[in-house]
Amino acid sequence: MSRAFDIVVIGSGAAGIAAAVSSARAGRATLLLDKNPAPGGTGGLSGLTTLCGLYDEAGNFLNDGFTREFANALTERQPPAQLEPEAIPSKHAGPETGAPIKMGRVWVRPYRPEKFREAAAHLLSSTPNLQPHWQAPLANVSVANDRIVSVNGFNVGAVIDCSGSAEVAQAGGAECLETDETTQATAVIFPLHHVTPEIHTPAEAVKLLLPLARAGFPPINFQANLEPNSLTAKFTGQPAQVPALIEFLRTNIRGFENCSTPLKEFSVARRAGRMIVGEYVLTGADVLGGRKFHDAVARGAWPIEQWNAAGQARLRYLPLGAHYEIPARSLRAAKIENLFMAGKTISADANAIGSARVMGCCLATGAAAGVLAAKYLDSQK
Amino acid sequence: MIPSSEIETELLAFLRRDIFAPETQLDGETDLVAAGFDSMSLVKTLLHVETNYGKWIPESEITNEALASIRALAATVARVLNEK
Ligand SMILES: Cc1cc2nc3c(=O)[nH]c(=O)nc-3n(C[C@H](O)[C@H](O)[C@H](O)COP(=O)(O)OP(=O)(O)OC[C@H]3O[C@@H](n4cnc5c(N)ncnc54)[C@H](O)[C@@H]3O)c2cc1C
Repeated sequence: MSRAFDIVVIGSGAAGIAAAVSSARAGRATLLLDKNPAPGGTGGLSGLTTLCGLYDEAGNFLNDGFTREFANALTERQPPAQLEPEAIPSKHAGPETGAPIKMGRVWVRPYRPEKFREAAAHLLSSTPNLQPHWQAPLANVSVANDRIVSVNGFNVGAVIDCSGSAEVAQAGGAECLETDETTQATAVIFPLHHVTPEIHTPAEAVKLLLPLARAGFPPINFQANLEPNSLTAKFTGQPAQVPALIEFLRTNIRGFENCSTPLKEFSVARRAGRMIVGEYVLTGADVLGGRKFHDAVARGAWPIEQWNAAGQARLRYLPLGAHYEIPARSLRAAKIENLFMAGKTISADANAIGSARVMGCCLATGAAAGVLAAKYLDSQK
Repeated sequence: MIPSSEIETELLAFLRRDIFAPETQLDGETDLVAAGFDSMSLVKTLLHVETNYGKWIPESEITNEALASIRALAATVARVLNEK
């Protein structure tokens, strides 16, 4: 007879890390499965360097608890003291202290991907009741009477799908919704070192980007990161176009004459995903209207981002100062009573997920799903 | 001479069609960045101007003032086009 776990979490990205740690902290024997050899998911392994969705308009944390704990674990030095709106540090304070920086209308937290992986590995290995299995792809889900009874041969009380693409739900026959690459374009993410650009204003950004667009390159976006003289590029073209792009920057753009990337190979990161239909489907109108719910378990305020097939972003913001809530019902599958979900795969329509998929929100829904799954098991006694 | 009001009307139509959500309130004085205009949208708009009117906007004309509103942008485009 194979071993039993109270809760099995699939996926160790932002959502899965939060779900596994909070389920184990609730005293539940937790198994974490990931097909990768180490934790991190998109946040740790794709080259991303900004955590979005952590803060409200004033730069204060939207979600406390594990979300805040994890964000602070990424901090290089002292975490910032309580952030008062008027005490928001200047742009340059960000990288030194772990404080947020402002990008357009929103606050983001820059981080180093290796620190993300380290913090994840440390939390997962130091939490009692938590057993991670690496290189363990989801192989088998058996369902009886609308309940998942076992995963990969382990008997289980509840399951949290944090795979980003609803792998458990699909294997278990639950209903899913899709986004696709016509609304959530892919991107190649890579660091560019030895750059000395001045991009602080819209006009400076346009002067950098317009020559690339005139030369026919697909859209690219540059973000500040924590390395000196470095930017993180999110390029909507193909991996094979990156060398030509870098050559063009070196030849034509002031401040990029000596730029280079340490990467030898480039890969495509996918924004699109699959959502599991829950007891409630969060809508784009709920997000933009700042809707509140009686069973709220997490908050979000990130604009709805959609990326068309040409890689152009369309951002739809909430009203100034507003945030929306995510109800517990959107983290619980409709058809399978012991299946919960977090991160990119929560019950949300294609518009709402354009906001709720950012990592701050994934951490918050992950932590909430861990607690909900533990409570569900309490109620089954 | 292309009057800047004509360019403004054309730009508004383009922005409503290709950039902003249909429900966004837009007029000549809308602050573009506050309305959620990111740098890629600005680039797309300038490319549209360049293909539509057949002339590149010189780097010296790309200023924060010129990008502040559709009216300011239309005035800049009109000046560039009407220059000999
Ligand atoms: C191009 C791009 C740019 C982005 N920019 C930002 C940004 O700047 N800031 C931000 O906050 N967010 C950004 N996002 C969004 C964000 O990164 C993701 O939505 C978020 O990280 C998803 O987290 P997650 O935990 O739900 O899933 P993931 O991080 O994708 O984790 C899923 C995990 O599940 C595992 N898994 C999948 N299938 C199986 C299986 N069958 N068996 C076992 N394990 C499995 C995977 O190995 C992985 O570890 C961006 C996304 C993309 C693609």
